[in-house]
Amino acid sequence: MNKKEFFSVLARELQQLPLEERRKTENFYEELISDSMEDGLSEEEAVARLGDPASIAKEILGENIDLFESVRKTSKSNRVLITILLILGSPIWGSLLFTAIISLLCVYLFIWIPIFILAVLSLSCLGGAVVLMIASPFLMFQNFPLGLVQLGSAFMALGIFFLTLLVVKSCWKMTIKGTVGLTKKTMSLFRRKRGNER
Amino acid sequence: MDVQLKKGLLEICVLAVLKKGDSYGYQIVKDISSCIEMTESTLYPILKRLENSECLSTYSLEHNGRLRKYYRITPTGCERIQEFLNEWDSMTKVYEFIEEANRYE
Repeated sequence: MNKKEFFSVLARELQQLPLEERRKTENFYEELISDSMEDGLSEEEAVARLGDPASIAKEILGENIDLFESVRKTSKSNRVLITILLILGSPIWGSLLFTAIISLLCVYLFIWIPIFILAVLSLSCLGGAVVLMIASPFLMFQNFPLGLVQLGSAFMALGIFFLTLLVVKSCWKMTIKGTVGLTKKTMSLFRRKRGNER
Repeated sequence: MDVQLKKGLLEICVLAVLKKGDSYGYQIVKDISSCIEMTESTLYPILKRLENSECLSTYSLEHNGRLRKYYRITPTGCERIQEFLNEWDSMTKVYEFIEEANRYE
């Protein structure tokens, strides 16, 4: 195989690479061939030393998780361009981001409001029951039936307190679970996948 | 030799060659071949990886009417060599551990 054949196979196999990568590869092997020839090898021998171009290409393509790296490692001018685009596009992505954050807050509110209402109800019943109970003996001296009714309603409020307390207790775990689950899901959206990092 | 292990060793060998002075592809392969088997086609991905991780920098010089790409080690590259040498202690420990276990029949 001569040099020309070697490079035509290499170019064909590396078609999917960006032009710059391809050129770099070609320069590298070109230089190796020239150097071996200067060392006294013939062109054929120098090419043969390199091995099969198809398998060389395969190895390079296999390596090309690096291709993504070269995309990520964009040149400085690209970075400036990206920054400008980000700023120019901010009215669009900014409002979208804002909406997303607000919706997320709404979902949190939605999860927490039921238990909050129940807890407030529960506490106010407790407070009411205590006040009614303390006041009822005094009322009984003035007007016994009315005082009795008041004591009864105090017990009723106490009952409602215990009932709602039970409900709050059983809902508590669910609410916490829901919050943690939602937070985890949101975080996972932003976490970078680091699978192919070496 | 195990492929992954060899890959790692070759990277350090390339850096070691460059530590002695700037060099180019053909010469690097020649230098390394005296200690570990290496072909030109394995060198290319290694150089690329080292360049991407900023362990070496490159420049071109004219030679016989053509350009030759030279590689120079960076401070990061020197650190890599030092890290490798520092790790050697724990590697010999692993070797002794495996060796000792292997003596049991």
